[in-house]
Order: sequence, then structure tokens, then C-alpha cells
Amino acid sequence: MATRYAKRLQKELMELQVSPPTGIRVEEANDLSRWVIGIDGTTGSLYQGEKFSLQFRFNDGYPLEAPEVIFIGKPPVHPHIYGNGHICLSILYDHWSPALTVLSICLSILSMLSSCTEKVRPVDDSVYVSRAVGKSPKDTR
Amino acid sequence: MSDQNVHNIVNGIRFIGEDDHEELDIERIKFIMKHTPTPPISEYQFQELTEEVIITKRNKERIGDCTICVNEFPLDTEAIKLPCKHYYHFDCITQWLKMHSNCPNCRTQLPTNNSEYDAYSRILAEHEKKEREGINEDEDRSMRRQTKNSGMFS
Ligand SMILES: [Zn+2]
Ligand SMILES: [Zn+2]
Repeated sequence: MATRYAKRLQKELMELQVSPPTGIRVEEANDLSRWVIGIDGTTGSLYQGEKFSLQFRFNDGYPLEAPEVIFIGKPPVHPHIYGNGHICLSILYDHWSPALTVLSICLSILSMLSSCTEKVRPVDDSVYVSRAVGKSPKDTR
Repeated sequence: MSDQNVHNIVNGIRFIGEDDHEELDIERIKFIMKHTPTPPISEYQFQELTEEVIITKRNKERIGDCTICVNEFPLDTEAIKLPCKHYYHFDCITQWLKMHSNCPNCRTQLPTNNSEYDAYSRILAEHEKKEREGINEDEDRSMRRQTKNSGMFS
């Protein structure tokens, strides 16, 4: 990944590896353009004790463009998270800002989980999941 | 949403002000704003609204780093200051403002090259202001009464 902003990704990665906040860890980042970040359900939330993995894909546009972020493995059961791991969170799409970071995305997703009061899938889950086969969440809106 | 659709809805909004329709139109504007990508800032406005600030030993710490590239501003170079007082490298902020028209840090909306879009922004902002004032109306009234009383006894 040879962009003028590759340095920013390296910095972000190093900070996350050197001093990760509680409940967030880098699981994989062999390739700078694809990271897997582990997050733990917050204590006191419906997801306490559960572990999840988020896949981040960065293209040359980052941070002017949002990374593609999805849950891989078993996604949390949540009204804004589809069964295929796609996440309904505006900062990942229309409300992206280059001042956001991988860490701030992880924190937003954790707070989205923490504020959940009922573990259910989105109402249109099956329709969406069948429509989104093989697609990036950035192309299904 | 296609441009034509947006255009049709825009024309519909001209009727704003008839009380019965106002609520509906606000919902419509909110919908459009949510589904329209932000247009870029106008070049003219960029020139008008931004300031070039030379980085010195005195202001460097206060200004911090550019939040787009997370690099510092070297001494004696120029940083671009937006009206909301956030600073960026020229290259970083102009790349962003080619596709958007808000400040990455605080999302303050700058004038775009699309006057219809700006008109919606204004209508929405005014609506939100009115809503906020509605909540404070009682407070205001009691404040006014107090002022009047104090005037009477002074
Ligand atoms: Zn910069
Ligand atoms: Zn700002």
C-alpha cells in the first residue's frame, strides 16, 4: 500500500499494538490493508463475556474514505448488525470523517453494543443478507 | 437517489411556510440530506473562509497535529485554518473538501458549490433552532417578567 497516508495507518497500528485499550486488541495485521481487531463485549452489557472479531479493509483512499468494516466469525446478535457481519453505522458510510480512527470506530461499535436492550437481528436481515452476497457493505446501501 | 428525484423534491419545498405542510417538508429535507452525498465546498468560499497561518513556536502546541494525516505542522510552514478554528495541511484539507464540505473534526458545514443543498442546510438549521427555542420559551417568559419587575422598582 503505497499512499501518502500509509504512515498514518502504521502509526495507528503501532499505537493499538503498544497500548491497546481494555477489550480491544489487534489479532492480525500482516498486511497493512487488512486488519482483524478483536473486541470484548463490555462488562454490564448484554454482550459481557462474548468476543468478536472485526475485519478492517483499507484502500488507498483511507483516511479520506472510510475503511470497510465487518464482523467476521460469529457476529453479535444486534438490531443494527446483519447476520453476514455487515454493520449499520453511519460513520462507516455517509458520516465518515477523516478525523475518525480505527480506535474510534471500535469504540463506536462497542458503545453501539453496550446500549443495546434486546438481542435481535435487523427486521430485514434475511432479505438484506441474500441481496448482499459477495458484496461490500459500502455497495449495498 | 437520482438527481432528478432530488430536483423534484427541491421544487416541492418552495411551498414551505404553509403551516400544515411544514412538518412534512422538514421530514422530506431530512431524508434528502441523509441520502445526498455532501457536495464539495465552492472554490471561491474556500479562498474566502480559510486563513493561512504560519506555524511558530508560540502557536505550534495549541494547534496540534493535522488530524487527517496525523503529522505535525513543521515550524515556519503554513497551516490552513477553517472558520471553526481547526487546522490542516493544505493538501490534506483540499483533498477532503473536493468531495465534502464539512470540517473533519467538528463537522461544521461550509458553503458548498450547490446552492440548493445549502438552502436545505439553512432550513434544517433554522428548524432545529426553532425547536430548541420552543423548549426554552417558558424560561424566557419568566426571565422577561423578572426584567420588567426589576425595571419597575429601580
Ligand atoms: Zn495533514
Ligand atoms: Zn472544525
